[in-house]
Amino acid sequence: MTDSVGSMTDAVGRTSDADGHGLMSRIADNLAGRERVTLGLPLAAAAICAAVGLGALFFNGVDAASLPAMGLLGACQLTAVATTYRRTASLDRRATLLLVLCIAATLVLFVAPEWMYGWNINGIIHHSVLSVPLLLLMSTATAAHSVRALMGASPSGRDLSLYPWLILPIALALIAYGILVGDIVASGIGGLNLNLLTTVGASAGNGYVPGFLNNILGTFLLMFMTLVIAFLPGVGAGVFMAEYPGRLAGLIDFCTQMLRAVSMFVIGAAAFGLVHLLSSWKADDLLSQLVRGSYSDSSGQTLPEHGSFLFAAVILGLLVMPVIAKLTEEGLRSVPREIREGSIALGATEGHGLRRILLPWAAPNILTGLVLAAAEANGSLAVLVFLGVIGEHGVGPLSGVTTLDYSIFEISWGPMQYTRVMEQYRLTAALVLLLLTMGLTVLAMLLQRRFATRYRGSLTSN
Amino acid sequence: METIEVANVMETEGLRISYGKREVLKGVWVPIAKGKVTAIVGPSGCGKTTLLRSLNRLTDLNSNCKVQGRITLDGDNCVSMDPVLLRRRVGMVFQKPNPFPMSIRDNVLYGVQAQGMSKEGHDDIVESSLRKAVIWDEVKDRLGHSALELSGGQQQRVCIARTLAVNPEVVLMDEPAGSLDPRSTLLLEESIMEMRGQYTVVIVTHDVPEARRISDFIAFMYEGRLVEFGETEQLFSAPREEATRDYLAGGLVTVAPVAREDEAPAA
Repeated sequence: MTDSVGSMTDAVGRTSDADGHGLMSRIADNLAGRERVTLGLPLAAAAICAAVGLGALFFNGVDAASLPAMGLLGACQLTAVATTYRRTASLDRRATLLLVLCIAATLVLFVAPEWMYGWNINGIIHHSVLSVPLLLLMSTATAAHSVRALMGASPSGRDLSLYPWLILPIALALIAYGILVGDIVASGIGGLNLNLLTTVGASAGNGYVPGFLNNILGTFLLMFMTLVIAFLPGVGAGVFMAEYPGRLAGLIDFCTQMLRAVSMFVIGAAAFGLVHLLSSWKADDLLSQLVRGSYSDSSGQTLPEHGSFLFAAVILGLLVMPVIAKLTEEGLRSVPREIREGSIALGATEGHGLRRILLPWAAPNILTGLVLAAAEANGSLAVLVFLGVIGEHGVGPLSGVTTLDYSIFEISWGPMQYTRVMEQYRLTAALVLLLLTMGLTVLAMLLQRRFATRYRGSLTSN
Repeated sequence: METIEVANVMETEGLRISYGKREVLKGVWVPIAKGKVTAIVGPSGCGKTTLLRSLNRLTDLNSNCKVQGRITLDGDNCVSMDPVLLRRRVGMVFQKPNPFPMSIRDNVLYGVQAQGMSKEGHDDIVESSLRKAVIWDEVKDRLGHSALELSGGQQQRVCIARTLAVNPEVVLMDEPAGSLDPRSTLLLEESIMEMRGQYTVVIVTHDVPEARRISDFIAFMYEGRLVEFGETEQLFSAPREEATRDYLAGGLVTVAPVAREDEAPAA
């Protein structure tokens, strides 16, 4: 995903630098050279997908938006592949891969939940949980592909200007985002009020008092602990990859990449397995208590939870560490060679140079990495679904986990009867989470810009 | 040839340096006289920068680079020294001004702090180094300002001050005026004159008149070999080689010099 975005910006930079034409004129040129394209195939595919999506609309909210969108993206990719094949009599490997991914993803969404019910992993993995990341993955890739096509930048040098109508997938991806976000905002905003944000949700007699305070605090605590845990290993891995190239650095790079590629659900499942292994092994030893967490009930008795904040933070730290490592590496690589050599030529040791020059230089990147990691942790909290905790016993390092993500899941599909009361607040929780994540991402961008200009100053203009 | 009556602080013998399969230096002998300014001149690609960088083992940074032959500092083989310690004795000023993104004062003290030298007398070190680099008057009122605010010529002189602050035995300069305007170049030359006697300077330059103005000795290199080495005035008045005469006169070599192996002058 990040790769395709990277190559996308590459393509933009290259074309606008190379021939001096503006981006828009380049796109206009490509559009002017358009030929008649058979739209029948994609339209038929889109119609089928839309019908399926409309059917899904009757069953659930989020799915209803994601499934047709995914189908449309698939249809566009299919057309792209078919057209390229017709024009060049060879398969565009990238587009074909995307197509296969789209079809596979759609199939998985239809079939997988049935199996997973059978697995009985502490509840139910609903396909919504899977469909949203898949949709994001696919639409980003599709959009990147389309932009490349529009720029006329093709890795194999083929004339991609022959299908400039690929702007369609971009529009569709945006629409898909729009539907998702719009749905959340429109439905969630009604339930949003200060009272909800400052109340701790709790059972009261037979009823339930709705409140997100615990979940919001839990989200922040978890983000903070995740960053604390991921910071040193992340920066360390980044330093190693940038400063000590070699087989070991390659291995670390590979490991962090793999960590990034592994689905968070796999990691979540592994974490879940670990908790259960520990609780069946030794319920009372320290490690087990650290992992599982505990709480005191009204009589002062300490009872075990199902997974502590600390443990959840370690799992999330593992997930977000690659983000910090990658950005640290990028920051260090951006140090000009002259500056590096200047430090070395003054008889500074590697450690001194790292502390005084390299890390301060990379600081904006590291900071951005931290904020992005926080945003990512925030978005990946769904992993904690596996830890399956209700977390109504307060927020602390060893308390059970309660986060916004978890409450969204729990309210929607949780086994607990009383959560039905919260049904109307499901999308409100999603909205709060969305704002939090977007806020962090924007903050990351602002920080990077501000710090980069302040610290590196005029050196680059020299 | 006259006997050179000065002690050599550094000397290379049979220095061969290659990047991958490309041999850049093909057996070079160069003596570096103590307290003198030695200029290395020659057309682009003759290996003079590589020679300079090998003197404080910056060539180590390129894993592709292979160094053979002997380089000595005060009679000790540089190859067996700790490169960090070697670089503390042999400093370097680069072609492009490369001040660190910190205050002028911190720039000057960077090497001092990096080498863990005494924490006392920092103010004196800053002042005397900046004076030697002929920039004290321009920056004395804004030592706390970022060095990046200075002009290119000022930055370069701060870099010289930074190098001098750690009291190196030898200062290497790689076309230090390469990116400067004429006025800054003049101030830079003034600072090099200031260093003469107190420091040993090795300077790589393209500018033949500049080499004549500032250097005591000139080493003329061509295609990876040392063609001629001698006292500056002697080399200008009576060069031994046709190629040297050509280069010093107009910068163009019309007759390629005879390839000679690593040759030291008869004592």
